[in-house]
Amino acid sequence: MGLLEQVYAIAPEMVLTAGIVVLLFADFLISNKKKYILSIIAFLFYAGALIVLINSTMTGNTYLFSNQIHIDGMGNFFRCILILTGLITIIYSYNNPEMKEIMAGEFQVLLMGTILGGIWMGISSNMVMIYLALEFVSILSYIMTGIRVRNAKASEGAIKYVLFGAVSSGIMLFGLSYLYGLSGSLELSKLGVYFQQAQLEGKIFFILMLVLVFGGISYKLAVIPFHSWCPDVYEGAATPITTFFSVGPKIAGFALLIRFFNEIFPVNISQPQLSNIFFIIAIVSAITMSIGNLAALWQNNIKRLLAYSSIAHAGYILAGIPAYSQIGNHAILYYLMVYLIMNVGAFLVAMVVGGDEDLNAFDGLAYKSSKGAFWASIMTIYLFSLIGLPPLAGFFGKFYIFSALIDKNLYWLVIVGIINTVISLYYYARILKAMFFNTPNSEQQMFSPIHYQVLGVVLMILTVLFGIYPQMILSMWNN
Amino acid sequence: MDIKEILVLSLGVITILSAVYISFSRNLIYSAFMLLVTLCGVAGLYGLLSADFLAGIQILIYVGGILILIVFAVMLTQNISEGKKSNPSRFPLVSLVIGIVFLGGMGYFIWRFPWNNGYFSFKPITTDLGNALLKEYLLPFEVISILLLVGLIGALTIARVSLGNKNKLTKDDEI
Repeated sequence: MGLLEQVYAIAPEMVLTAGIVVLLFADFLISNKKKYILSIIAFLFYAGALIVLINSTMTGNTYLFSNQIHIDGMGNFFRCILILTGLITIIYSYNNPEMKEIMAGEFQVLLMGTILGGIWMGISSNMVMIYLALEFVSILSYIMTGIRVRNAKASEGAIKYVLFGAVSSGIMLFGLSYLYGLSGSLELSKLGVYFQQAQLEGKIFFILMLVLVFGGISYKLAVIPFHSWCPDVYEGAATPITTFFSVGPKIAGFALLIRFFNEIFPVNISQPQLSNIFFIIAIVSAITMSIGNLAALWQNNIKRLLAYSSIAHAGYILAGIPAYSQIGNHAILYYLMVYLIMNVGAFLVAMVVGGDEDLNAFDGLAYKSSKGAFWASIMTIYLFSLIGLPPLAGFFGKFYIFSALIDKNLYWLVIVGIINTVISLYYYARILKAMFFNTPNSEQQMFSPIHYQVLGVVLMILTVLFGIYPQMILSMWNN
Repeated sequence: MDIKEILVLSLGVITILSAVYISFSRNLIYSAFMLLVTLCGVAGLYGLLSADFLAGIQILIYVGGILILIVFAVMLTQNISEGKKSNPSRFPLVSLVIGIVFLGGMGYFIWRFPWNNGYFSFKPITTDLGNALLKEYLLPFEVISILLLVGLIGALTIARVSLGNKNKLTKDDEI
């Protein structure tokens, strides 16, 4: 394939790159009072990238740029979901009071850069590209955390993020360097070929190094033991950015993790030694959901509560990896899509209620005004979906993951997951109780512009719709 | 003994001894200066493994740039010469155990593993590197340039805001 045709294949990424440059120039051409135009430009570029992606003629499996990237159904799914994340982020960060202290142009550039990096994470099939993409997302995330200057919490979060990121990048690079030394190739598929031919000792060493790489990736997913930056970063960053962090980099991290394992070991080939690393991942997943849920029980700050809730959900999603099969992969993709929708929804209501991010701000939301009742009822749907009650989308997310686990006889992980679902009921129900049974405190002012209402309703409809017709997402992956 | 083996061994000994000194010295300034020897030793090893470009870069960036930065950071910090304050050795036993376990485990596998020894040759690689960057690694090469652009903007954003806000200083800032 010629170079030009390969460039056509990455047209959505080219559109986003062009978007970054255009935003940069537009930023200093537009006067300070008309910065909202930047949001519109960014929105158009995301929409353009999405249209280009949907209309692209590339189908099936293709390795491009000397096996640097691999474009297939899964890759296209991740491109699609990440661009959608960017689109949604533009909508809820528009006109948000917390975003006023942040320079609009730079924020848009950084956001688009993070989305672009996330897409590279989802389609790269070479260790150089993997590391590059991971750093792409990480470096921009540090900056977006610390972008609120003169804010002690933001600085604390950013510093913790940088330190954890640097350490885990080092761990991951260490593992990658040995993988390269063992197999003599940077391509992930060659690693798999090496693994199948290797002696037992080589295999054990290989798996030890895979554990190190998993450690490096898992800090992006904020799973235990690489989670401790997460609540501080979430609390420190402006709420729209926190919302983005809870979905964007996490989806990209899972994209990278699935891609990494799928490139090295195609799902249909069984390898007995692999059960070791999957056992480790299963334990990490069980600990992550348990600690995430238990820690969330004591939180009184809504952002910290949602941060721990997102750690717990990362644990559920991670459980799909040990169920290493086509069903397991589909379950993870489905859960990621659903998680994007319901988590953004819950954060959206938190932004509407605002206040000092205390749980008290939710007190008697349902009785304040008609808008309050509207948001309280929407929040109820999101919370039910986060808990995993049928027939909402969150239920099917968990259902698919658990059924993939049962296929592989991992019953103990299913039991841990179900117990955790029950625990999570408590802290989600605390928000419900505050909204419907506590007396309203009247001084709180709601931030409820029309675009928030539209986004809230759309996300709610999707939460219900994906629950009733789960095939909608699954067919997306096939196209 | 071959001259090549003597070179590799002596460079290895220099690197390891200076690294040990860095770890055990209680004075951060001495550690920082000893890092110079370690980094040069590693550069020499790179050169012997026919990674001449990497050796040059190692000298330029690590010895020339990062090390100077570290030395400045050390010298600008207060009370740095008092070992007890700058690096109090906490949990020596636990660290020792973890270190030995890790070293032993890695050492065992590295020792037992049948490494490919066929790479020893003195051949300059910079031309190949240039070719690879514009052929096989064209995409990462271009992606790095975008990353640098966006990273630069981010760095400016964090650094600039305090200047940009000068015209609307609050009361606390005027002091």
